Amino acid sequence: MDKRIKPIKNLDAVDGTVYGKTNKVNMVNPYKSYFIVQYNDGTIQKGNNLFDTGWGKVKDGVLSLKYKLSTGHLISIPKMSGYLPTIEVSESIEGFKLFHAIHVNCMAHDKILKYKIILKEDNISRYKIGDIIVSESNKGIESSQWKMSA
Amino acid sequence: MAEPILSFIYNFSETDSAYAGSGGPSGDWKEINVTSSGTPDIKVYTGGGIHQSVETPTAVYGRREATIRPVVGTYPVPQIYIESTIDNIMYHVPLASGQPNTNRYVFGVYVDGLITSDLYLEMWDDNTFSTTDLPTLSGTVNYPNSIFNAVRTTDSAPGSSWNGDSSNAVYLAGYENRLRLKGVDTIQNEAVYYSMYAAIPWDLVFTHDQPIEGYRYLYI
Repeated sequence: MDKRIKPIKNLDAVDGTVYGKTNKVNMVNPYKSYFIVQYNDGTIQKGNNLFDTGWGKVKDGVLSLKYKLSTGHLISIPKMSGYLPTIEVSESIEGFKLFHAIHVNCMAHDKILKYKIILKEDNISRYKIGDIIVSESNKGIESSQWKMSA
Repeated sequence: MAEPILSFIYNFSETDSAYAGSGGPSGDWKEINVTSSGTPDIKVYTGGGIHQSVETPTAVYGRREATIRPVVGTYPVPQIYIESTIDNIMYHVPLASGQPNTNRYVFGVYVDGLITSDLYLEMWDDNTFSTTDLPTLSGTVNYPNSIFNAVRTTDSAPGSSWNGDSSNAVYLAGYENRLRLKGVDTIQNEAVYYSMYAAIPWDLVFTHDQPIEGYRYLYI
């Protein structure tokens, strides 16, 4: 049995909506949101979706990294030394899954810059789908999944 | 890379021992059924009223017993069940009874795959994961805490009188008051554990809340 649960009910081709008691959340369609990597030799590699991202198949030598969201947003990440994107998600024991953001960790000279791409919007948060929040960290992140730039 | 698969598990026995499986039910541990295609299992806090307690180790589906609002202080609701629509029955979680207690392996989450953060247990009003206005989460004038006490037990058992103020414990409510289930920012192919209970404060008004329990994490 595939135990992966659907993110929200009534998901359509563009996005999905969660109705709460006082709030309404719109979220990107995770099946139609993915990364696009371009390499130095001009080849392009597309990711799968937000469930099975496909990042493990990305090679070193990244020339550019972009994210295409189901809502049509195309988000370009600035040129950095290396990239490590992670997906922030919540699961409830009622069978819901809500995607909050993509955190693209970027290797700069002596620090980690994090580009947080917002994947949902509601009546409370000031951030909208496709917004980017940039923060800085001196904390190293160890992972074999860092992909280095060209 | 791909999302990890989480199994939400609970100890159906009175033996305080760790989960030995690799996802899904195993030994004394059952799995909370989560599904968006049918009715998922729910966690039921009950007992303490006129009839004192609901029968164990299982009870009829839909069975409830009133609980108590104390005259002073707080009253821990004495029983927790997992109500299963698929099995059409309620399963008692014996180690979660009589809280606060020192039982360690009560509830858990098995992570099949890799999480690149800690796993955070949160409670919200609903599946928008955005508000905590329900009285059971926002508390009362004299008791401004969530009634849901939770403690991380992955590394050690809790103290005998633990509550949301204890070490590695919180009163579960939203993003600010959430529980780290491992205390480390990497979890891979392993189980993490916690214990929890609901404590009714003396001035809680009558309510019929159904907050949701959620788990937040990062993956590659």
